[in-house]
Amino acid sequence: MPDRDPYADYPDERLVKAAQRGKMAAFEHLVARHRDKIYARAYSMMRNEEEAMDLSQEAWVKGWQRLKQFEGESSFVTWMTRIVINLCLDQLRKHKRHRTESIELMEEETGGVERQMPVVTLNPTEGLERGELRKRIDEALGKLSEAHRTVLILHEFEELEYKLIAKRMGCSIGTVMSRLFYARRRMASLMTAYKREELS
Amino acid sequence: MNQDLGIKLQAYLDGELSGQDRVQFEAELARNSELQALRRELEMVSGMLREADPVRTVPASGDFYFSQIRRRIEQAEGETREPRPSINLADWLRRALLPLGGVAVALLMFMTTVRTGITPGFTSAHEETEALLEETGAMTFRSDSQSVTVVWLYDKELASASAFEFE
Repeated sequence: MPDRDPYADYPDERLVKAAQRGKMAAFEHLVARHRDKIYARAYSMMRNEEEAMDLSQEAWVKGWQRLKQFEGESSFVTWMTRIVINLCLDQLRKHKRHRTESIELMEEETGGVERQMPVVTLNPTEGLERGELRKRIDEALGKLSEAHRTVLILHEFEELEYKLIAKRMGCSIGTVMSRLFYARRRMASLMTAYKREELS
Repeated sequence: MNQDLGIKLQAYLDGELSGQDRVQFEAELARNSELQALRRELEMVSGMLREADPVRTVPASGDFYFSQIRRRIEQAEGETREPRPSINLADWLRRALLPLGGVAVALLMFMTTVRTGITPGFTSAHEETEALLEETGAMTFRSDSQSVTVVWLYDKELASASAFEFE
């Protein structure tokens, strides 16, 4: 980018307006500002670098194509996050056609939760600095099935309500609730295991 | 404690229970210590996740990453533009010039007949139709080979007085 970049200090709203008028340079700034967040969301759902790169780039392309539809009802990065999540969900549906059900889903359905995961009493996050905590959470997310991880991300990180999650994932609200419950309990169990390893 | 109760607790904590269900559950929660322990666990997990959404950086330089996006945008825009149809000169000549030429010949012959009153010889008549008016006669000739139709109008009096032949 040139040294005297007029867009460098623009807030998102001004960059969006310029990009809506066709200014690719303004759009490039939006990408530079938010690419890591969009990529991180794609990676948290797909757990694969190549797919996350592909889907995050595709999300930016769709963002450019649909920019005129963005009216500022949410922040630009929230809007972009929704786009990348929808692309990831489409991709996960394609995965689902080719893979068998995960063991975790079977455990959830047969009530493995209460048999194998007693209620956690110690706080596994105590004493952890944020960077280390993020790393452990990321590791634990990687151990969940796609279905459990997706519902957890949509609820905990994107703050979507059950009904909307059910609609996006193409399942019932009851399924969302049981998957979310299992996912949370599994996260607690995994984080506690990491803590115990650290203490031993 | 059964899973259903745990799921109901989750719905309560997530604000998805309302009205009578909520009131009844609060009463259950107040007297159930197992449920209270589970509540602490679920609240700990939610709190932990909301504070520490994993971060990642794009594993490529910013310029490269954007160049790929730009390329995809240009590709998508190129695909939405339809190709212009090519103009075939021979087709255009056949479709436009020949019929116009035929019309021009017919017009010329018609005007010649009207001026001189004499019907010129016409050797390739394939079809003849008569349309009689009181003083004016009309004859139609069609040449398929030249795609020409000629309508002959003539004065009956003059025609009966002069000798002419069609072959």
